[in-house]
Amino acid sequence: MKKSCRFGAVAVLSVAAVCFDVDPTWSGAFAIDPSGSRRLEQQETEQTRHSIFTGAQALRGEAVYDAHCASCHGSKLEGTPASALTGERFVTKWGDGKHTVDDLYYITRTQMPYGDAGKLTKQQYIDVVAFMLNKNGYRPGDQELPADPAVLRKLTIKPNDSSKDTTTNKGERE
Amino acid sequence: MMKWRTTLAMSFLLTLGSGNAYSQAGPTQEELNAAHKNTTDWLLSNHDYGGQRFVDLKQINRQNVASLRPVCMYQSGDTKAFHNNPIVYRGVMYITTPSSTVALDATTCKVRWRTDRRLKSIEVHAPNRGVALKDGKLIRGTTDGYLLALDTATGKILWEKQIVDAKNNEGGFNSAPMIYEDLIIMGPGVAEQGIKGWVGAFKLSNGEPVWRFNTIPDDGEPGSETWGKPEAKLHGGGAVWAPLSVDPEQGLVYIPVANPAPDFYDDIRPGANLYTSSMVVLDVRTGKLKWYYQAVPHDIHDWDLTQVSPLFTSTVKGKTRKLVAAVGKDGLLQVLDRETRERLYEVPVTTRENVNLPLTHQGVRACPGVLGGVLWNGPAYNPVTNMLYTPAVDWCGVFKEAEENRFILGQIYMGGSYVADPMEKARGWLTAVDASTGAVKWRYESQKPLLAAVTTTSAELAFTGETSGDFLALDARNGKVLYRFNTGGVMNGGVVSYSINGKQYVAVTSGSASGFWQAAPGASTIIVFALPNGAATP
Repeated sequence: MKKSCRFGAVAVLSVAAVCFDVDPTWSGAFAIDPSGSRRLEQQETEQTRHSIFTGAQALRGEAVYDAHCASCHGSKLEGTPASALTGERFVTKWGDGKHTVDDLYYITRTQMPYGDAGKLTKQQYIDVVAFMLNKNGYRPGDQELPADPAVLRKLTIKPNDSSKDTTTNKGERE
Repeated sequence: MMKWRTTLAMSFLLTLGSGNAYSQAGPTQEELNAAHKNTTDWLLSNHDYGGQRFVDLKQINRQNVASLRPVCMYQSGDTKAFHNNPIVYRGVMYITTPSSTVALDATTCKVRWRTDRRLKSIEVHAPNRGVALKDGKLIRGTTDGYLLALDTATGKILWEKQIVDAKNNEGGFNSAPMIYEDLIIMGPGVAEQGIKGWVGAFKLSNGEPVWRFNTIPDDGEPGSETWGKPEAKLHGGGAVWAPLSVDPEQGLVYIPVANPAPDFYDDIRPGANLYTSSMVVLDVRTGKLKWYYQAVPHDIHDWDLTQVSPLFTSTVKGKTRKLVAAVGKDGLLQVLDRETRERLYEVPVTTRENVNLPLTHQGVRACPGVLGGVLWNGPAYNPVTNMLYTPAVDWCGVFKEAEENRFILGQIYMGGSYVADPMEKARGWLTAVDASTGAVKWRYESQKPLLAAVTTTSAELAFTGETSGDFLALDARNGKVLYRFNTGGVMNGGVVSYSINGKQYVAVTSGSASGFWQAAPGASTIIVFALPNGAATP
């Protein structure tokens, strides 16, 4: 997974296929330094790039996904018969730099499971979001992704030069 | 399949065929105008311009229909939703899947040619509902927003034109195009993505745009005053995803316009929200509005108007009148006089409950639900029985208005959520109505939703299918099931009948429904039925 993101004025917190911009004014649980983007960029490390959710959270999300989502979106998120939640389609729809993690959380919690929207808990929904991000190449760290729209709104999903190769997250179990 | 798809670059195109090109210059405008009388072809998606879906064939009749047998099958290798109504012209059947266009021998199912196409943009919504034919050209839309013209003899793509930018929230094409004279008439689908809807005409020769009518009006256009703030119109929905009909005598095209968006959060769009959930009647040559009828003003239930056919003539209160049937996901069949524009009668074709209750954050149960009423296949009219036969889905659910409304580019834009009743409670109704009075003559109730087309014949038969997979032949006089055949997949597409070399055939589509219908995926399959030799009676 030797991938790189374009680094702009705002620090990019991922080298995976899907990347995130962090609003420099954000001072939530994931903030490294609230003083500004430059400080953030300077402090960027392999660990911090991947610390918006944990592996345990993604695993919890996978269990929720298997129980409530896989029957429509596929056991590998391939999207049969519903929309694919991984690969080029996911990156095209979500990783265009115009969507936040909160947008993804909003759609997931207000529309899914289809025909029974809202049946899961907020924690279950955010865990599924963590799982989807994980399956799209974003690696876990040591901070959980909170079910807090105010926090999630400051995480922008970014495009990536290598975004076309996101169908699997190498190194993860199949 | 996937491997070669990924190895071919650029304008991916594969044409398979016998190599024996044959002459298929038509159908001509004269042939299309006379499609309602044609018994050897099936020339338009709904059989004829008026969409009557009536064929004057009697070889298969009430006495021998139980002897029907499959005579051939074709499987496309596709398991996406299979909705299309086949077209049959001079012994060749033309079918589509989202990615393929196929010409088959209509009596043997042998492939004449097949053209596959790889997506060039994102696919917003998978179904493709068929093609239109004229002057040697086959026209179809694609789910990523292109119009294609193919040579009907060879399957070669003659031109391909991007009409909408699917990546920019402009929708994609799902419905079958309509062709009249040298114009292709088509509009983009998927109101739920918050598109700003329209319907337009394009040149048959090259796809160049000719006219456009905004189903969600621009600022200053008539109807724009029915939306409250102008911003509401930017993502107001008003898709066009169901069949059009044409009155060639009057030069009018009838358009079914889908629901407004956001579906449930209506606070931001006060007013009638024209021309959503409406029948829009345009001058087919210019796109100028002649009149409209809004079936559901200010819809809050995702109740698209889906059907604006058949156009037919019947006697009402002692007077011969030119009529049009309009029905949609609200489950209310309405018949109007096409000349006086008067609504003559209405008939519920599903359960209808709480239709006027406003939505709440806690949820309001109403019928039909989001997946109820009449979907992409609509009523057929039989002049022998003088009845309309309407397939519908009887399925309710709970609608919730969101506490927060948010438009997210490229995402579903509902403004709330919907919880359907358990699938086990979903039923299908096929309702037969006296076309002169609106009186219900009979009703067939299926244990599963009815989504397939209905075709009726002068032998007083009605052919249709169930999502259970069963192909049905019913006595059109009383609804008695005379024949049932398990096709092995979901029936939710076309059912057509035609006669070749003196033999009557019924061709049906079987395969997958979309994911909404909680049915296992099936292979897209055409099955052609006929009577065994010797079974036909005079």
